[in-house]
Amino acid sequence: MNQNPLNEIIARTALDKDFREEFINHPAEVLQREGIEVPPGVTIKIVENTDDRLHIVIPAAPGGQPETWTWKEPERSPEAVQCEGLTMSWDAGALCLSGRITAENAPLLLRELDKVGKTLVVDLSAVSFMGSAGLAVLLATQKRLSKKGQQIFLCDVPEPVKNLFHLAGLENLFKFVGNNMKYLWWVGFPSF
Amino acid sequence: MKLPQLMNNFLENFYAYFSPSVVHGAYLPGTSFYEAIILPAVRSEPFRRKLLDDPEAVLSDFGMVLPSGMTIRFLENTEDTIHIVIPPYIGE
Repeated sequence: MNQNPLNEIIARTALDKDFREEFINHPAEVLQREGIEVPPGVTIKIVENTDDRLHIVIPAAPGGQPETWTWKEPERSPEAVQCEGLTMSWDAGALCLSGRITAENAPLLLRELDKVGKTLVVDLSAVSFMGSAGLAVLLATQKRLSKKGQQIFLCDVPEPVKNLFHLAGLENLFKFVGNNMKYLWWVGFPSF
Repeated sequence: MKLPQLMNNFLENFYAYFSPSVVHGAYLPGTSFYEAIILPAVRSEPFRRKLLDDPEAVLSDFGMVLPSGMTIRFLENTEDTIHIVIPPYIGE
């Protein structure tokens, strides 16, 4: 089951206000419209995560199906990678960058991003400088992901870096999000 | 495609990527969140009750500390009740 339609529906609730309200008020109707069969007698409860409140669902106990589940290790560099003033590390599914993104280390960033095939969060909060090489890498990744309906979320982007997107006329091609998304992104985009 | 099956597939992916680094603190080495918390909760009714009633206490037993100001709540899916958790709204 590579394409779980629930992923798309849940992701859409984060971005589309009308859809979100409809889904909260009439979940069964929305699910059925999206081609998901809701068995009779099943009650659906929609729970909203907030910036400071996190909900985790325990699967239905009978049937024992969860016991067959396996632990999937994401294929990522476990250790922080450092190169030419740029440090890259994975934290809870977000790629955290710190330091300077320059023409020297941009290829390394591209190599790391190339491992990712699905929507991801890139945390730029600790980036002090990004040149056009870094911009090109993000743009190439965004282009590659968008062909599959996926995208990059840029998290906590400092103003000087954001200005670069603005100057290049590229700010509309990326979704800028606040720090809260860094830890909560996976609720909407669980399959990496 | 039926909702219960899709939901379990969704949760399976979710637990796989709910990594210990989300909760800043010591964590049982070599153990996933799924193996340490979810699986026992599915198998053991008393553990599940405890997790539903006082999640912070259970998590701190496992050395997990939530970022300050953040609360966590567990919800229980059953044969006839399915919870769908949606993220905060981040659109324009």
